[in-house]
Amino acid sequence: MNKRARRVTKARPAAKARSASAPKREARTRPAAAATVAASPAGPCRVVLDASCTLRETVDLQRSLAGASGDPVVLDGGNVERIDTAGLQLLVALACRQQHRGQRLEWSAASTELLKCGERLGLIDALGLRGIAGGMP
Amino acid sequence: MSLDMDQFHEVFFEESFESIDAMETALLRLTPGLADLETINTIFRTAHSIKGGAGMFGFNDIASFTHTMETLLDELRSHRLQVTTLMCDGLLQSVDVMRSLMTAQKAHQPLDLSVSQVLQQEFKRMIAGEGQPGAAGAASAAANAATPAPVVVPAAVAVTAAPATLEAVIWNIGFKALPALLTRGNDPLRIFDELSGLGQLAVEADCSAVPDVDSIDPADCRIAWKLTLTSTAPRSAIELIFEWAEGDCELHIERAGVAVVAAPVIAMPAAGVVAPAPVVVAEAAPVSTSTPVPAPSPVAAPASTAAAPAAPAKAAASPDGNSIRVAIEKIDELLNTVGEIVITNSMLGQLAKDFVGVDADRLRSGLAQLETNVRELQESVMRVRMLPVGSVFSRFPRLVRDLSSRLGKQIRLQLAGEHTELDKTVLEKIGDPLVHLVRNSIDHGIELPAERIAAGKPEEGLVHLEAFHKGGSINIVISDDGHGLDSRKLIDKARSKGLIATDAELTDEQAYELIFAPGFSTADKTTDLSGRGVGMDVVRRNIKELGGKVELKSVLGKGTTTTITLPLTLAIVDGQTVQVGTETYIVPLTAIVESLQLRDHGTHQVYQHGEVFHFRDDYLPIIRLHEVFGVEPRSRRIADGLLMVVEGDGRRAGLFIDHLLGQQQVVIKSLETNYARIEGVGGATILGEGAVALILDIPGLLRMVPAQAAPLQKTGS
Repeated sequence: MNKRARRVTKARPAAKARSASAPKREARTRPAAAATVAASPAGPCRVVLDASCTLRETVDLQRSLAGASGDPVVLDGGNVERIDTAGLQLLVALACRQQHRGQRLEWSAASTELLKCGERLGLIDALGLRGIAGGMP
Repeated sequence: MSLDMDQFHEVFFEESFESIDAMETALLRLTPGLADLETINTIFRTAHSIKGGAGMFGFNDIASFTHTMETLLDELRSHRLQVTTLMCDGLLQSVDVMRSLMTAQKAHQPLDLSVSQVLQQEFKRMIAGEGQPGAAGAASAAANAATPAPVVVPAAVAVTAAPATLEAVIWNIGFKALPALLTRGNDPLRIFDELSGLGQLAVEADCSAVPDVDSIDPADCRIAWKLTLTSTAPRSAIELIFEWAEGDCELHIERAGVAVVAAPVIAMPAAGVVAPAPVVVAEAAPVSTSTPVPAPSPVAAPASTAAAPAAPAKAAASPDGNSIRVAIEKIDELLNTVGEIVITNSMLGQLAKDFVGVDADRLRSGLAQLETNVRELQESVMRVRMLPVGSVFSRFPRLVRDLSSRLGKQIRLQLAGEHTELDKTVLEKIGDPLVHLVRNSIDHGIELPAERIAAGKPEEGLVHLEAFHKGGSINIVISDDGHGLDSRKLIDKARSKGLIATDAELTDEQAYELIFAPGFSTADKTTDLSGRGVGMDVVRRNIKELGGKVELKSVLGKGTTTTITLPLTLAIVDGQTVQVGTETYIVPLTAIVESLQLRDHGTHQVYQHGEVFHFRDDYLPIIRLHEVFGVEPRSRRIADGLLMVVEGDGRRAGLFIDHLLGQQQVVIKSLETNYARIEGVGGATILGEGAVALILDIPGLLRMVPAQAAPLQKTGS
């Protein structure tokens, strides 16, 4: 399977019930690469990170994350195979925005690579990954 | 859309090439069978940094190659593999491969992976344990990955009793990225990874400056870190890891205290004891003093920090942490502006000479002070262009190693004066002539071991390369203790080639000069290294083009010494100002043989050779500068003016001028850049009174001798 291929998120009730006024948001929040976003205007927003989240992909990743709006924003980092400081900083920037808005950032999954790199840079707490990282070897 | 990375490549390539040079130097220090951790760590870090940068910029072939290389080096530094001769050769070859891959990548050309793939396979076999003394092959290597293999160390090391514990220093490191850090291929992630290889690393990030995801510039790292490293490595080893990020980060490294860690167990080869990688077993709370603290009871190292061997206490070369990288164009621009100030200052000085009034003396004194300051400024800027000659010398250990093994000779290279500084432009152009001379010493000079023993010399030959200041010049001396030049053989060869008359008798010095004749070779056999007679004439020409000269001395049976004398800089020339009509010209002092005044009838008209005059044992052509440049002379009579005998490219001629004015250092301004290339003119300068004077290109003028009467032609745009 092409690891860069966009992941299709499972439809959730909120997404199913998207109103006719939603297309604009959907168009904006579907980036070319780096992450896939599925969101509903008021409810949670799910973002699936691609395999590569490095400086090269930051333009797309930033667009995706900036467009991911909801409470909570749920990140799925289970696919991440390559991530660098630039990619991790974008995730921190997302966490900052969520905090400023008084909204939550949650993780549904995080790959070992993501956790390892987050730990190495001391960003586990800033990213809210402590719960998942606790199980790291 | 992806981020346009092209804009950041230049610096990456520049730094990578420098690192590859450093890696090559370190590789040459590797000794088969010896586990020199410091050297291996240096090489590993370079490979790791290049891999990281290449990966970040998407140069996947380079990243893949360096990854394999790095894996091999990691096996070496973990003592799972031993350094073998084959490995040294392969790693050195990989330096060439990396250079060629980088060069192709930089030029956006397709990468030739044929050699790199073969080498990668070879490295993989080595990683699998093949070719290791006493290794059981791939299976053992797989096992090695889980259990560290016995460390084989030389007896001298093995008998040294290791202390049970080592004192480790707790370092507090403040690291804050500046805007260009990430885009220059410096990823803190990789830097911290490398740091963790030195000991136990704790990382604390300060994300308070990170903006919202909507407004952040993803390429600008806004996180600051506080790192705590407990390591036995010296400060220089830590600084070395941050070397690539130099100028792109704020870095503070301070010693916070000490901790006691378990010392690595070194196994005796005969005993075959398994030596696990040293593990930090004690973590002392940071202390404010450097007083040793007693070892607390062992605790497990935090899971986040991979246990890795601590670097040895032997200090690595400390990098200069206070330098910045500046484009040479910017320095030249600065130099040019300073040159303009010198000229303006000089013009004001001329004006002030005739100034009368109450404040005239104060004005003149102020201008004299200004002149001193401006000269100092000019010298300072020129010093910025100076680089240590060591950057050129660094290629020779490899050259000597490769050539001596190919030729079956034993040669020791001795370098001295690597810190002597030379203008960057001169430095760039001196490399090839030096390579030629060193190759000559190795190929022609140093004898085979058996011949040396028979001649009562040590088996190992010596090639000595040294740079030093002498007066206003730099001397580079290449000497060897080989068999020297046989002047008799040189003369016979020159006679047989018709280069000299059959009855000509030459002194030893004149015979040595034959070496520099085009097409002359002393090699009995032509090899791919030498013997084709192409070279020494080119060497001399190249050095002359730099305003330098080359001299050769030899003692038969004792060796040969070649001395290259180079000007400190190409931006300034020592010149003789001469007058022709109303114009002033500058003749570089290095080209002048002597000046003389002829009596009437001292010249002769020779068919097809034009006007000549008798000079010593020769007849030299006369170049009437007023005809070349189309100016009206004070007089056309030879006896009314002077003949300046000049030399260039092995030819001589007499320049007919009105009179000599004086000697001065002048700042060269390129005519080619500011106007067009003109045959016979090397550049221009602005004189004190503000007039422009042309600087003569003597070799170019001499080439014009047959067409001296023709009007001056523009030959370029």
